[in-house]
Amino acid sequence: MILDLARLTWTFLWLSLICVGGGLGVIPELQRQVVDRYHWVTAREFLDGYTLSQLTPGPTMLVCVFVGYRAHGLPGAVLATAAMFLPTAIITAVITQHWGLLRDRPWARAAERALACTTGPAPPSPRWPPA
Amino acid sequence: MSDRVRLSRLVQVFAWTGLTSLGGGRTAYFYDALVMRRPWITSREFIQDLTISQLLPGPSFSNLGVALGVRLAGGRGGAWGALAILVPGALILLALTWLYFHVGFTPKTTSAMHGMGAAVVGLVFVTTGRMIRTAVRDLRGLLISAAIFLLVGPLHVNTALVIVLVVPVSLWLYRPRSGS
Repeated sequence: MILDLARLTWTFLWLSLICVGGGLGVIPELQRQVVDRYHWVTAREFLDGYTLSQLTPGPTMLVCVFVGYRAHGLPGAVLATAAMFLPTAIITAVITQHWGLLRDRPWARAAERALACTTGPAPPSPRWPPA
Repeated sequence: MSDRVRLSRLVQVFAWTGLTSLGGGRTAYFYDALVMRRPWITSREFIQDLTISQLLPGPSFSNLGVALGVRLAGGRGGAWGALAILVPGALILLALTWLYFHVGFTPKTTSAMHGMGAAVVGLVFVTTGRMIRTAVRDLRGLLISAAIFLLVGPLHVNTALVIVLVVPVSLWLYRPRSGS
């Protein structure tokens, strides 16, 4: 039980670290881990949980609440959610706080201009799962 | 760095915006709430935070909450901003999950989701237009954003892969030059 809780936490932690450019790209890998590898939810449950998370306000990656609850009740839901959001939130907070200090350097300004046009106008990712 | 808004006000606005941003296009609701309705953040600052939140690892919506919160009220603003947009949704989803597993509630989604999706298209459209005016200011920017649009949209290439491929090109095009 404790071992599986640790496994659940670790799985959501490393999945959160490979979420780049939004969360949707990681959903197929998330499904592979929680359905096929660890059997925390069935394929049908995963699809329903994903749909519920789409209907709920907040990020789609809150689907970790659903999977964590199914696997280990409330402790599972809390740990999965913390693993998904806490470490990356800390990374973002540290980097954005320090970015403010670097902002006036020429290379930092150039990077901001270069990056703004890569993410601002990007359309939403292709929907997953396909309708 | 002094706080731009009181922490209680930040939590209130973030929680309300998070709770009412249904049907996808969640970034557009934050743009509307913090840039258009309130003089809290400029369009340029919003794009910087959006860019950082998408490039760093992690779910980009919560990263955006952290980045905007840090800008408005420092480290505490980041922590409370993220909690304000995550906790209400997490509690609602927990309740729905309990109903699903213990009562047999099944999401009947298609019509509800299509309805919400249609309602939000207008807002996303307007917001994207405004952000493009701020982010794309020259031919280089236009080329980069058009390439990303084509790759992610019609060609269905994985977003992360596109970013990894296009960002170095964009950085090179915008490299600082002496005299500029």
